[in-house]
Amino acid sequence: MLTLGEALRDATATLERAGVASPLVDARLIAAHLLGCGPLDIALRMRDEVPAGFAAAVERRARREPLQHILGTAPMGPLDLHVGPGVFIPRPETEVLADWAVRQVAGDVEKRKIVDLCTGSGALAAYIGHALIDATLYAVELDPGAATWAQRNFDEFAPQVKLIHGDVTDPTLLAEVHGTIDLVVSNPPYVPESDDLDPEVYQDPHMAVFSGADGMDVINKMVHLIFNLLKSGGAVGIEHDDTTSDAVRQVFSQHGGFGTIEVLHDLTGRARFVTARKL
Amino acid sequence: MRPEFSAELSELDSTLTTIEKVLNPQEMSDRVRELEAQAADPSLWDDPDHAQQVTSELSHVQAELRKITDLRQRIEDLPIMVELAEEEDGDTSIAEEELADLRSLIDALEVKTMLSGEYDAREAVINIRSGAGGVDAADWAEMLMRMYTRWAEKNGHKVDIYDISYAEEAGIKSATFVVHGDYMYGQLSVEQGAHRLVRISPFDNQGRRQTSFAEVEVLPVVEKVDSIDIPDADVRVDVYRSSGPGGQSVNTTDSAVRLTHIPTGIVVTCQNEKSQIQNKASAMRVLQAKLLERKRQEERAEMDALGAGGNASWGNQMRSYVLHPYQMVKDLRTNFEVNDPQKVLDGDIDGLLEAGIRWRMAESQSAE
Repeated sequence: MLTLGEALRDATATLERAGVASPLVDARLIAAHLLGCGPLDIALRMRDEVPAGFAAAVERRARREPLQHILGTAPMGPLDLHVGPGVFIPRPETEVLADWAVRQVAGDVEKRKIVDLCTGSGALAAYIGHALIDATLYAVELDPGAATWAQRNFDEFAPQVKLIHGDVTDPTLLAEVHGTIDLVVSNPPYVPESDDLDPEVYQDPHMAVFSGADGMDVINKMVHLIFNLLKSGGAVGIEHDDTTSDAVRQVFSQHGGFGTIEVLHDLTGRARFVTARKL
Repeated sequence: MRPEFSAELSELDSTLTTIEKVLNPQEMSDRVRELEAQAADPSLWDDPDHAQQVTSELSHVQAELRKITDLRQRIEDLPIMVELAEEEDGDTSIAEEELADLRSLIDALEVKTMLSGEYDAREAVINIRSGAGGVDAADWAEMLMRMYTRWAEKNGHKVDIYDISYAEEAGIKSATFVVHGDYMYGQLSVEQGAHRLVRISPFDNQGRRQTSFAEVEVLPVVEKVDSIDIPDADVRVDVYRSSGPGGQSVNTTDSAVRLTHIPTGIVVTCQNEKSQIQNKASAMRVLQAKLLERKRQEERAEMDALGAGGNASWGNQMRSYVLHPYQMVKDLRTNFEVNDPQKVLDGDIDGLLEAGIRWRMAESQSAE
């Protein structure tokens, strides 16, 4: 009989050959998912039987299907968000923005009117809504396919979030709350058009990842809606590409309606977010 | 009935009396009344955190009090039980069983009264590192980890594994995990030191005998009162794919986080959470525990320098587990022995822990 330990070793070798970036971690996450335990708890089950479905899942991963599609979930802080084909898979960096957002409004119950633009799977709004149950939240998504996933995640993790179908490049969107919002967060599409990224990335909806040659198309246009939504003194935090920190800061400073324009770093110290306040 | 029976009974009685002096049931029942009054106050739940504290302390004190009064009652009932048995058919085996049962309960309670160190009530962080010796040592480290997690499981304590570094062939190079529950540090800290295994190597084709070592480190979990504050600038954070682009342009599945405390060079990794930000929070907890331990070591060294004595020389070989040519677990500090290593490795370590706690108590008294 093949033990789990042996199967993990084989799976790691298979995934490595297939070019998967972190083969051991992926093999362990698949096993832990099938066994319903934490990824390291399987250390105590190395001599156990291989769980049913392990080989098939590893084979799918070796064909470079995103791990999150195979597991059906992607982590976002304490949440396991539902994801699948047709919705952008949340990345770990976005947790930093979510954590920043919660800390922005945590001390003040009066200041909890929040909008998440380009919500995708609902990651930012669900994280914030789960942490702050009395916050009022609007989440905007253009793609109806993605919105279905977002709604499912809100139903489970943050039922107070209102999901709005709309285009963030339209400055009149959500007109009824213009000038009343305390905080806007966004993880918009921001990757410069490119065809040499890892194959997993191309299984995210194209419109959720790429945004013109320099990755700035959506951010350039959405700044007007952000300005309209915020009340004076309200804050915005926006995620962007590694290469566009200066460009995003410029968008806010050239608009003229924002001050305190600052850089927020991810856990490794890369400039990955810009935060600002409406004057 | 055995002639020693009544001598044993009166010895148990006097041990329980000593325990009662320390734990003071009168004081406990006063505390129960006080907490009951607080719990009955309708405004209690205005502050849910405080309410939670009150109700959990109440149920804890009630349970402890019940334990002591129950033992006292059983000690007093025992002579009557014997008398009745002798009158009836002379079979005192049930009374003998009761005596043995009471002995183990009272011994365990006595050991608890010895957990009065500053950090004893805390949860414990356990670090296991395999010693030199390749696959056998790595396998041994994993066996030890299993021993502690089984023990915790049996006693109803939740374990969170923070980090494991797997060895090449089998076993682990190191592991870090937290054992949740009151007094985990007080109980498990006696496990600190080098653990030695002697067995026929299952990895050696020629079936040769092999000695392996693993090092166990036990730290108290840090709480706010310890004021271990770590400035952001003192910590370097590394995550998978730290270099190169991140964000939407890569699909990262590895959420492991490694923290390096720059002033001390301490490195902590956490990879059990699926979320990166949660791994970072867990790693910070371990780093804080390590820094607290460092601070305590410095304080101990200062006291030693002042001539205050104390035996801080942990880290020495403290226990042997021999599977071949005979079967024996022997604690080298306490001389406590068990002839069934398999039971011990399956998590039955209560006897070893108790002996260790008693030994530590005696050591600290003789140092005074």
